Amino acid sequence: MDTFYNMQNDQVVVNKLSINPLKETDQRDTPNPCILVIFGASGDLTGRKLIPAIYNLMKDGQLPPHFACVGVARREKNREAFCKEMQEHIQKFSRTKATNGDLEAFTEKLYYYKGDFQEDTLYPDLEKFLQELDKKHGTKGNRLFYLSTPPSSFTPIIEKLKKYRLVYDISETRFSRVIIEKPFGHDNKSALLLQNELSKNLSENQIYRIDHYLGKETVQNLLVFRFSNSLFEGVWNNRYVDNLQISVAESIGIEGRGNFFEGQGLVRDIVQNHLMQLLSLVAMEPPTNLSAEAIRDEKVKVLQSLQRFNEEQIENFAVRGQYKEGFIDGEPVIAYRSEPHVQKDSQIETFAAIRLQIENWRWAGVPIYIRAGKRLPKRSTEIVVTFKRTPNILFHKHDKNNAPNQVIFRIQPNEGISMKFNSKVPGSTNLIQPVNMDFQYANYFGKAVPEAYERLIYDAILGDGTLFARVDESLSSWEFLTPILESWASHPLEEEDFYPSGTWGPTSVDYLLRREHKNWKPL
Amino acid sequence: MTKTEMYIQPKEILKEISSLSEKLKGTNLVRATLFNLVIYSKKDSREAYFRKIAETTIKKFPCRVIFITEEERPEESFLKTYVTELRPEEESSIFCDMIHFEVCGEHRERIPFVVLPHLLSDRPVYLLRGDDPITQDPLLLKLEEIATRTIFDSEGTKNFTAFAKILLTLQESAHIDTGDLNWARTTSFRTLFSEIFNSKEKLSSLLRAKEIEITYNKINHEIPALYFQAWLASRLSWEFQHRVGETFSYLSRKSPITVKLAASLQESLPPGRILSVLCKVSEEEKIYFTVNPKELDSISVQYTSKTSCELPFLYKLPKEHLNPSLVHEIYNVGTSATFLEALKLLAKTL
Repeated sequence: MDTFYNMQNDQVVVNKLSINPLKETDQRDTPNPCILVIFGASGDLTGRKLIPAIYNLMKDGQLPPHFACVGVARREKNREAFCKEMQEHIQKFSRTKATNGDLEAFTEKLYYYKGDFQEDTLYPDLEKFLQELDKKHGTKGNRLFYLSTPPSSFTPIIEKLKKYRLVYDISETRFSRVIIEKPFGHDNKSALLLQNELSKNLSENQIYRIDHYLGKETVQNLLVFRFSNSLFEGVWNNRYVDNLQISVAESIGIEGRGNFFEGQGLVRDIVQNHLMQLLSLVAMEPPTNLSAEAIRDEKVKVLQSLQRFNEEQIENFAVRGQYKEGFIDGEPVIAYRSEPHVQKDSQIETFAAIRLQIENWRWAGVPIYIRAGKRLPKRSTEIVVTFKRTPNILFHKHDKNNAPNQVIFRIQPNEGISMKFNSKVPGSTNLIQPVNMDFQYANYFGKAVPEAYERLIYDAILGDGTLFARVDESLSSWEFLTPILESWASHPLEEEDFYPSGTWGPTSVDYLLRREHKNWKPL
Repeated sequence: MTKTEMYIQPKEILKEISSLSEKLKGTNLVRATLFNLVIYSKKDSREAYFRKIAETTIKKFPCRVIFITEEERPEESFLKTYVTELRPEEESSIFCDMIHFEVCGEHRERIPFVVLPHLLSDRPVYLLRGDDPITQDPLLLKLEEIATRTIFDSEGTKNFTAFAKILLTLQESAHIDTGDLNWARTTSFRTLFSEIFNSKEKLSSLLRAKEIEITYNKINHEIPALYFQAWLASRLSWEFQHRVGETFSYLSRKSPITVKLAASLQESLPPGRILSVLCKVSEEEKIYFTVNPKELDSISVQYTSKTSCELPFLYKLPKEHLNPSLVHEIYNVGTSATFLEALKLLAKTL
């Protein structure tokens, strides 16, 4: 039941209409008018990912009609130069072909505002500028701030946004939201500190901690695969699953980001966010509904159930490495320590593998192996669920090819899902051969899937936090990883921790599994 | 190769499909099939239109297309078959199979038997009926039996009232999942209205409207406009009073409201397309929606009232609504409840 005020007759009309009777049941909410303000607009992320994503959203008609985008950065340039630069980025990085008409329409909504976000003076002036844009574009004071800046700037920017009333109280009808890029903190203490600072100025549902992995179609499909197919959920537990493996392999090195990577390392860059998010999605319990809170409630329980390691367990279950010189695609590449802006005796890890355990009813006793690394032979992100073997009496006795069943989620590249099962080799013998049943997005859905940032920016405009990490997810992840990072920091890398570029990490990483009579699934 | 040279026996279809795949080996092209799309069309001017629909569909959803064309030539009877590959776009890395059956005379009875073996068994089957839906053709009824969903094209009907009633009967008695291309063609305006009138304040204006004028492109038919007004009336619980020509009278919470359909000829635009909608709340308060004829996904929206005259703004429709006919109907599971409500109302008002 809803009440509509009949202005003409000046009487309250009670009717049986739902809130919006014109909306179809499967229709998503409409994004409200807003201005998207990108802090750090001259950065690489803005040109390569954010602007092409916003352009494609506009092209697909997904942006609200009342919309504007403002890039804020220190560099001296005018709007025209900024738009031209962004047009070039769109032409280079957009997943769809850029047309002149669409580019023109896009740049009509694109602005540049020069300013130093460390300086107080920026904010009142920016607010006036945004108010003018509100009048011009009908954006009604709604704001989405994207902090594409170093993490050290998050707190000062948000404090100033609040001080100069660019972000509002949650009770106001207009909205203000802030998207924060990873990493969220440096360890559990700094993450908690950052959260305490943020929560002084913003409520949790105004903060969108972005992890672009969550915007990937295959990752979103994990929930659909698990909870809309009766075939799998019944065997998704310790009775049937032998082990879980999650791998994030990159063939690239640090791509000139020496300064950044020296302060981070691989665990902070990839494991704390991407890998832990993948783990929580693959291991979570079914949520009570598909709301952001219900899904995140279940995800965080997985992270909270991770067995915490003591010093001895860290030594046994966590492996790190750093790449040496080697070959990628047949071309020689330099060692990490020879990369620009990297210390010659750097102790930073470029590879990490951990054997972990989820201590809950569903997963107790199932070993979970995660690994991530740079300068590995190829780029590949996969989740592999390996099922227990059949009893050792029938076919297995005769043929060692009898392999365990596997469900493989390929996150990138060649997004898709495979199932491995055994089949009889045609002929008179009882030979068995593992075969693959393969689903590839491209084969079914053809067209290129939207970029992760498109979906995430769209959701943030819509106010849907499902695909963003909630604070307790981030903190739980840190809580598990911080002791490992602290232990590593107190022990220098040893000779066997270094791996040649173009190999699958240090040799000890295989031992993590071999001692349990298991192997990494080849990528 | 001429078309005659392409003809093969129906039993050679699989072989031909394999040989097409062989030719494409080593080219990085992959066959993609999300579902089966069976299109039935008469050999007439509308055949090209249905072929275009097949091409548009695979751009969004790669599928196996089985295209049946029936010719009416007295004293002739034949079944001709050939296979081609369809590519969504020139640079696309995927291709789809298209099996063509050209049929005439008594050979038409063979159609279900030659179609059946070539439906990919684990994929849904969508049947697009390009004939007049009110004809109870036994061939089409047989195809309907194997279809997951039947999509009609009311544009081909001579009697829209009969069409509405048949669809309602199909739904109530046979529980067949149905859709209509003309209903799908109203998707963009339905989406637009649901998004523009998305607040109580805005919806209140629509509820107080005295008159709504829907202008459509005069070429061919007014069915999309009829659907749109029926959708509005059913969603907003208007009570039907009477119809005089192209004017429908309703009661909206005891206040009268009239909906006028106005025809305007725009030869360059798709037939029947809704061109504009004017909602008059009072002489001073109006909301006007106009399609940009050069860019059909752009709709200008202007609100004027006694106290304000807002600048018109361009509303860009999501791209998926650009080809709103078959493509939009594909993933509707079941028969849309709002479609049925609109049909029920139409069955009363026509």
